[in-house]
Order: sequence, then C-alpha cells, then structure tokens
Amino acid sequence: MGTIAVDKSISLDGFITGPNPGPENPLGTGGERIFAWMMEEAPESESSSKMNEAWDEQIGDAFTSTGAIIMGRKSFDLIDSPEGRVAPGGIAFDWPVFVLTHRPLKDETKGVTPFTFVSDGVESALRRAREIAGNNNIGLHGASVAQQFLKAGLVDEIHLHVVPVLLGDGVRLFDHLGVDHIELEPISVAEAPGVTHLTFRIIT
Amino acid sequence: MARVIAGMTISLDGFVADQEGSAERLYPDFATLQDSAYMEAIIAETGAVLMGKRSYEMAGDPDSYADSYEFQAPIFVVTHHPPEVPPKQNDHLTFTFVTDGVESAVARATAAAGDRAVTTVGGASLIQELLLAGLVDELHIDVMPVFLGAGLRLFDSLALRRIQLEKIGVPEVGARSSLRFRVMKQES
Repeated sequence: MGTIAVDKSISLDGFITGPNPGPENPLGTGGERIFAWMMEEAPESESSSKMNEAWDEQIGDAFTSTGAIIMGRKSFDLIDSPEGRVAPGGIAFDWPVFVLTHRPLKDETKGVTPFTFVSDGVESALRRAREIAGNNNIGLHGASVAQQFLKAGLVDEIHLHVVPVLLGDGVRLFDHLGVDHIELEPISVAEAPGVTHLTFRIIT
Repeated sequence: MARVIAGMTISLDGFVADQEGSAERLYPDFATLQDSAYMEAIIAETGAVLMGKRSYEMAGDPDSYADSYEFQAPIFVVTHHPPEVPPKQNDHLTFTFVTDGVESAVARATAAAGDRAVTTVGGASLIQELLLAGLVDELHIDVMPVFLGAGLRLFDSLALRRIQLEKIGVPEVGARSSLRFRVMKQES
C-alpha cells in the first residue's frame, strides 16, 4: 500500500501561505517566497515557469509515485480553474483529486484533473482515494486536510521543505492539532540552495 | 566584535514550551546532549550568555547556575525587576541584570564576550525583540520532531516578515535538526 504524506514548502515560522490568501492570490502576500527554491529564476521573473533541478530531485519522484490527492474545500477554491489543477510554475496535474467538504459540488474533470467531492469524512475520502491510487502514494494538500488526517492518525510521512523566510502571518500548516501525542522520527535531512528538506515518519 | 547568536529548540509545530510552560518534551535528548560534541562546541564559542527573566527563572534555584549551568560565562538577564539579592557567582559565571533595554544588554554582553559569541538562550519574546531590533547575527533553530499542539510560539509577530535570513547549515544531532541562519542587515 502506498504512503499517505503531507508534503509542503513551509516558512521558518510555519506558514504555507503568506497573509490573506485568496483566489486572486492563492499564495498570499509574499507567499511566492515559499516556492522560490523550486523555480529556475526568481519568482518575479518572466521565465519563472520552469522548475529547476532541486525541485525535480525532491518532488520529481513524487510525480511518478503519486496516485491521488486529497484536499479540503478551501484549497480547492484556491486552485479551482477551468484548466484544472495547475502549479504556479504552469505544470498541469492529472492526479485524481478528492475534495473533502461539507459543501460538495458536482464531480467533474477540469483540464486534465478529475475532481471528486467527498462529504462523509476523512476515512471515506481515504478509502476512495486508495481505490484509485492502488499501490501509489496519496498526497494531502492544504493545512486543514493535513491537520484532520494527522489527528485521525492516518498520516505516514511528513516532507517539509523549510525555506529561510519569516512570513509573520498566513495559513499555518501545524495548527489546531490538539495536545494528544503524535510521535515522529526523523528520516532524513537534506540541504539545497535556499531550502532544507526535512522528512519525518509518524510512529503513532 | 562578538557575534550575537539567538538559539532555541522548537517543536515541529513551532512551540518553545507547552501550555504549562514546560519545555521538557523538547529535550528527550537532554542527558546525551550535555556531553555531546555539539554542546561542547556551543559552550566553547560562547563568551557571554543573554537571557530573559522567565528563562532565568526556569532554573528554579538561581544559585544553581554557578554550581551547574553548562555555560560558565558572564550572564546578562534582561528584566525590569532585578532580584534584591544577586544569585551565587563564581570566577567565570557572573550575573548582570540589565534594566535599560535590549540594546544596552547586547552592548554589555558583547563587551564581555570578547572575541567569542554572545549566546542568547531565550525566551521567545526576547529573541523576537532582538530580531526586530536588528541585534541578531545568527539564528539557530533546533527542530525537535514532536508536536506540542499548543503553548508558546517562537515566531509570533507579523513584524518578523521584514527579517531576511540566509541559510548557513543544518547540523543533525540525534533527532534534533539544527537549522542555522545568518540574519541579513536590514535596509532602513
């Protein structure tokens, strides 16, 4: 069975977006600094669309081994477009996306991305994602889904790409977790220009 | 001139202490850390220690610093309320209670440190204040792979967004990943 992983670029102060993210500015104010390490050029540059080698090395593998994505409605609203799910760098993703929400929309394929709406809980979302993903991995996107799955004890691994940036505000990845113990062990630490990759396994 | 290093251990979710104010779960390696090469290196490069009042009080008995604190060096405590009776001191470890602000505290600690570093051990509010005042040269954030879920955050200010950091390195010490950064001088 594939692993269930939270894989996020994150500021040193724990944010995965800058302040005030919205559909017009899904990364929030200054949020592009979180992803600068993935880009060939600085994010302001015209030629920023090409992902660089560091990105390829860290995330490239995830491309071939990912079978499905689970995200919350907030994340969906931020990435929703007629072209489906397209990365800031312009890459369109064709992994099936399961949107965990109390406000489901009609299931639909947009661009190359099939979206399925699940309104009966995390276990159900996971079961349906697994049916599609088979032995491939399942990625959890958005802070809310990551938190819900962590609290439910359903996450296998956490992959953090820590950038040397303080954003001051925005969406925190690890928030509302409660004080129940979640035990982790580090798997690896890797350095690259402008980013530190920390990987953890969840033990309990 | 002495470098000012600000360092703390944080949980993966960014806390330096839990809801009860305890940092115990952040130091499962406390015993092994004391004799480690990592700790020896920090002690060797430290010429003076800077801390806030609450960090100072976490030792319980303040006389225990002179007897058993790992940093046997001049200690500068930033506080509005210095104790009436100063705690025990020795040939290496002295106490100075600084009541006229962080700039003064850093200036005095820097003078005492000579060509070694001023090591700031916390707490969170002192480190934030030093960062915002442009008084930190290096930031050392040791990430311990635990979630505390709630408590006191190290970084909790929108104003911190203007701080520019440059990565220096990531020494690994057991489960601890020490993220080290140079703090860029601010343009004013």
